[in-house]
Amino acid sequence: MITTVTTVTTTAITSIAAASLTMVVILSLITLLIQAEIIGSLQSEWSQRTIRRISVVIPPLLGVFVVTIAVRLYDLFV
Amino acid sequence: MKQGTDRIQHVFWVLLLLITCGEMLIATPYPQAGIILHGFLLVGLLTFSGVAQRAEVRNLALALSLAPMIRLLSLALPLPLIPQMAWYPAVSILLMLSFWLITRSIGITRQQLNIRIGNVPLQLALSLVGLGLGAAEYLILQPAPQQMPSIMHVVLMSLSLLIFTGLVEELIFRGLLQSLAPLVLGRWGFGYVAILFGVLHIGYLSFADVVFAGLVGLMFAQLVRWGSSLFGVTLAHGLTNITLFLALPWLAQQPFVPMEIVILVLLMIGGATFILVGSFMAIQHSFAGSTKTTVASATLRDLRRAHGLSYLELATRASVPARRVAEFELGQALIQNEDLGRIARALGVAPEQLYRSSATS
Repeated sequence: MITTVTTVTTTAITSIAAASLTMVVILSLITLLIQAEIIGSLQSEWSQRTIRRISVVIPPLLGVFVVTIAVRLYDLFV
Repeated sequence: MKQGTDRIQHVFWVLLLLITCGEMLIATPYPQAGIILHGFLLVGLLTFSGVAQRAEVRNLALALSLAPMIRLLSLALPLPLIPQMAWYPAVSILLMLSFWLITRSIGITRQQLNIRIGNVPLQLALSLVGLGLGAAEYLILQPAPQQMPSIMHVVLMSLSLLIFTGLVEELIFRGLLQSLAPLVLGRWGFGYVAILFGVLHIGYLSFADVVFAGLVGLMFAQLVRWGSSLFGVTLAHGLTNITLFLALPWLAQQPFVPMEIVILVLLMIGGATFILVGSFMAIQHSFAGSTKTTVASATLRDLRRAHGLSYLELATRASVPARRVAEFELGQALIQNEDLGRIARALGVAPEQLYRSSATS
């Protein structure tokens, strides 16, 4: 009973699709950052609340980005 | 108002359907389609959690964003480039960060999440249920044995499974989502979270395992409700995974090990523990607080709204689970005198006010 790393996860990440999957996550991160910037220009209560909610998932997605870059660099140079 | 509530409930069922579609697409040869859908779902859920009118709806939408997050994090990290031992920690640490940020944003307390030890002997005994569940799931999945070159690897992998699968998943599903879903979905809240838990197992490509995980989710939900603690089910969940992915595949490789007998014994231990401990917890739960009564549902709702409080805010003030407040308001549960006193104090009224009106409401 593990939801995170399943049979499909291990199959998908070892295939050619792995890089494109990371790309989708980075695009999601960029979308959220742009959305936060656009909504941030509004001054309503809901817009401020939405920004607070969006900012909740940015650090973990940023974590994926940083880990991916670090591991790729390590793989390249070491 | 009832129509609005129904509409919101339909929205959440549609979201569950979309998460299911995303999981099914990931299981196809083109997982990109599924991950794109999860990406859209994440953005949509976060937007929904900002614009929805009711606090309960906003909170559930935010908590539900953990479902696409689980898949985005697990598929996007470059796992093949790191040792297999580190796979679960790598995903779970980022997931824990999401969980912590979400709980902080919602303002839910540890008590609301059932993060407490509870009745230690009972909760420790409950962990043995994991042996039976691990054996049952082994019969479904038959996983290949892991590469375990030393005892240290076995110990580290066991701890990894216990902490980074058992603890993290119980915090998310039986802790956060189970506390929030009944506030929006009423009686269907537990079922909703159990189905979601099952759906996130589609990646094992076994329909039987999806059903199994859903049923276990429902069982764990009830055990947490009775015991008001995540401790036992966390241990049981961890032990299930250790039995399933480490112990039984290793035993199956050893010569002269009668696997049928081993599995039968584990199933009997798990089943007997569940019946004994579960029954005891159920009885203890139903007799807790010798006197119970029906709360005046309409009065409680009116007073809560008059104070401008959400379920969660009232529950936090009164130090009772938010799910219980919703159940009292909907007339779905009897209230203990102790809880009634706390809620009345939080609302600044005498407990009798909630009793007296019960006859007329």
